[in-house]
Amino acid sequence: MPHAFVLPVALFALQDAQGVGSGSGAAGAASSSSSSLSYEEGVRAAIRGGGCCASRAIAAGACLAALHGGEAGSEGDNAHGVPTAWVGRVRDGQQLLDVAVKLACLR
Amino acid sequence: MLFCIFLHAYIGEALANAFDAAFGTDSEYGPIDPKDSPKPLDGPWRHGSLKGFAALRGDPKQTKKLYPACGLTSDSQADCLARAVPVAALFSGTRRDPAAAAAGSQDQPGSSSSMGSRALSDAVAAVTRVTQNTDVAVAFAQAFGALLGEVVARGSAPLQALAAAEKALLALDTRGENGEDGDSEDAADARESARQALATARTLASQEQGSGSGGAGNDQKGPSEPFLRTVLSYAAVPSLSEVTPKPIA
Repeated sequence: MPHAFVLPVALFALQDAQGVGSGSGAAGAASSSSSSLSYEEGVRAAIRGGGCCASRAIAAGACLAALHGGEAGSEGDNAHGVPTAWVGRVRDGQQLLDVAVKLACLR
Repeated sequence: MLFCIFLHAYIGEALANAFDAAFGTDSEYGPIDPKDSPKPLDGPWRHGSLKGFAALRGDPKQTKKLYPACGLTSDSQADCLARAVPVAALFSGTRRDPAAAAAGSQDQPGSSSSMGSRALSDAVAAVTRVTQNTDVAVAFAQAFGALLGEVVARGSAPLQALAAAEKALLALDTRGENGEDGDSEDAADARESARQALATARTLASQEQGSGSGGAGNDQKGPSEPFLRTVLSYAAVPSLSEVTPKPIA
C-alpha cells in the first residue's frame, strides 16, 4: 500500500510552488503556473510507474483535479484540468462529472 | 453511541446493496471470471476488491455476507483510495464546518478543523469497509480523504494539505481519551503507517524541489527520473531518516 500511496501524493506535493495551490481549490486553474504538472501529465506519470497503476492514477488525478479545478480542459481554457477528450472516451463520462458536481453541492 | 453504530451499519448495508446492484454477479459484470481466464476480458472488468466483494455477496452456497463482513479482511490494496474521492467531494461541499460557522471562527488553509475531519474520516472508513474490511485500507483511505478535503474545502497548498492531513490522522487517536471508544492497536498502527507515508511524500517532494529538479518551480516538465525511481522503490514505509534514493533492481 505505501508504494501505491506515496507516488501520487508526492507527485501532488511537487506542485507546491509559487502560483499553484494556496487559495486555489476548484478555482485554481487561473493561478496554475505554466510549468506545473497538468492533470494529464500527472496521471500519465502515475501510470508509467507500473505496478498498481490504476488506483494510483485515480489518486493522482483526484489531487490534481482538486488543485487545478476539475473542469474539462482544452486549449485556451483550463489547460491543466481534466482533458475534454478523456471525458468523452469514458462511458457516461459527462454524467459522472455532473454527479460529482451534484455531490459537492449536497452539503 | 448505540444509535451511531446502527446508523453506520444501516448506511454500510445500503452502500453494499448499491455495490451489489452495480458490480455484483447479477449485474452487467456477470459471474466472477476465473483467475486463469484469457485476458483482456471480453467485457467490463472488476478490480480485486470488487471481485472479492461480489464473490462474498453472490455465492449461492453461502449466507449473504452483510456489512461489514462483505468486505475482504485481507485486502489492503490501493483500491480504497478511489473510495475516498466522492466522500471528500461530499464533505467538502461546504467550505466551513457548521460548528465553526456557528462559533464565528474561520477555517484557514491547513487548519484541519477537528469536527469536519472526524466526520469525513468516519464516512471514508464506512465506505472503505464495504469492500475492504482492513485497518490498513481504512487508514490510507482516511489519509487520502483528509488530504483531498484540505485542498477542496480550504484551498490549502499541497504541502500544507499534507501536513494538515497528518494532523487529522493524529487527531483520530485522541478518541479514547474523551470517554469515547478507542480504536484497536492495529487501527492506530495502520494510521501511523499512513501518517508516515504522508510525511515521506512531503519529504520527497521537498527534496525534489530543493534539488532544482522537476516541480512547478522549474522549466522541466514533471518529476525527475531520480525522484520517480526513489518513490517507486518503496516496498514499505521507511522512517524519514531513511528517505534516500535506492536503485531499482
